[in-house]
Amino acid sequence: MSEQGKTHFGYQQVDVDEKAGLVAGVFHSVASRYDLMNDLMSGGIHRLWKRFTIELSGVRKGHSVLDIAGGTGDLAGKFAEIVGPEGRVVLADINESMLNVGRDKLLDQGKVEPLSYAQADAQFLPFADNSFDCVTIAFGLRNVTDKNLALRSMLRVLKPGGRLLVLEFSKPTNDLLSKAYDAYSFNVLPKLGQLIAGDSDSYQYLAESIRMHPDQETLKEMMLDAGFEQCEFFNMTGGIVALHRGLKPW
Amino acid sequence: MVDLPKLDPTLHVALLGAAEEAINRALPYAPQTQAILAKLEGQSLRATVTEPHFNVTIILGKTLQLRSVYEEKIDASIEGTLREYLAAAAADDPAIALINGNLRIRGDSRLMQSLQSLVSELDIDWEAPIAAVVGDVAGHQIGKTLRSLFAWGKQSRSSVERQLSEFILEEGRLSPSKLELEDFYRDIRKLQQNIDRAEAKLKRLARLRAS
Repeated sequence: MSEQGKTHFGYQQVDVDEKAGLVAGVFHSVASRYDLMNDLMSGGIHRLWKRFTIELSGVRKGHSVLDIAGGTGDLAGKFAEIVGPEGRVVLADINESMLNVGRDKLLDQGKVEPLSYAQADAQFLPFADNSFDCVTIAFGLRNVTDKNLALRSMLRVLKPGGRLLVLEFSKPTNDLLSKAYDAYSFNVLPKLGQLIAGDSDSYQYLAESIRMHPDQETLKEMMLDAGFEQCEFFNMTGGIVALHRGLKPW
Repeated sequence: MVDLPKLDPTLHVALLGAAEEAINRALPYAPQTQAILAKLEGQSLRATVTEPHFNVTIILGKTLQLRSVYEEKIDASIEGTLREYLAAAAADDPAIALINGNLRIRGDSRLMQSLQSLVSELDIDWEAPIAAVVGDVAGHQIGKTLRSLFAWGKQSRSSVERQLSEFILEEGRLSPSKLELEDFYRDIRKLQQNIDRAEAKLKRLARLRAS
């Protein structure tokens, strides 16, 4: 945060109280076509990033999983298959529109048990301490107003030894790739947004919010500061996306 | 810490995801194989290629899961260079090549052998998936053609081997035949005996001369 009581919303400085409402506006606007846009924007690669996240989660039959900012339910649906009926998967999202789209999609796929849904703010998770074996947040942390508060909240609901996985856009490791990625994000992305979702501003925000998000090392430090241990990150697609993992101490 | 692949995880996961999808689509059409795999449910096998670096963990079951990262206990593992894997796969009896070859196997080698025999006996029922698309009559015909093509593939391999050896021996005269070799060895044995006899005679003459 750059000034007292201020935070960033893309490249703009806004009041802390305002950010959640502005982010909500963005996601209400894109919710119905979010899946299609993700596929178009990433060329379908977001599915591979999520697959790798599931591999590193170590989730097994009977586990309890919380997927924060779970949006359209990609991770939650897969986790539901893995944990089976004796497990528990909670799909949480702060945004009602996104949660509805996700729930409808999973119901259409015939996935009912062991899924449950919660409209919840990542900063103030409405779950008991030590409830989950694994907490994931994919492409959600950058939209949270106070990331440190959210990380501490995730630590609280994890069981000791439980894992947090943060999948998020990050900083490309190669300068050339970084330039190409910038050109794509600021020129192509908003136009795609306009074409598919009829909303270029929301996708302009997405591109800006990615640039404002902490880089790999900074996020790792933030996780350590929040109380996680054995923190590590894995760059994917040349660092365009990074998967951070940390364990709650015993 | 995880033993991470050298490949970018995105590419690694893409390759394994595509292979997993293809295998799991094919498995229902080889019901015998699938039934045996179902009995091995939950067992895991890690295959590591050291040059070039690549690894995959296969979690067995009615459907297979191919993972780039797997941090649970592994039941069996196999390690070697790509050349060593190809040598084992191309051997006449891959199960024997697996044990006697240069690949390093750890853990439960019986699991490896049961998988090896599964692969060699894989018999896919092509008719069912094709009939689902084009109907029973055309499906049966196409399935029959595919079956005979595969059988022809197996026959033609042994036929090509036989014809190739005939060409090398008879037409090209690039290598002697077995009979010619046996004649040659017989002649060598005879020559050896004659030399031994001549040597003995020479020694006897030398002794006579000295006395």
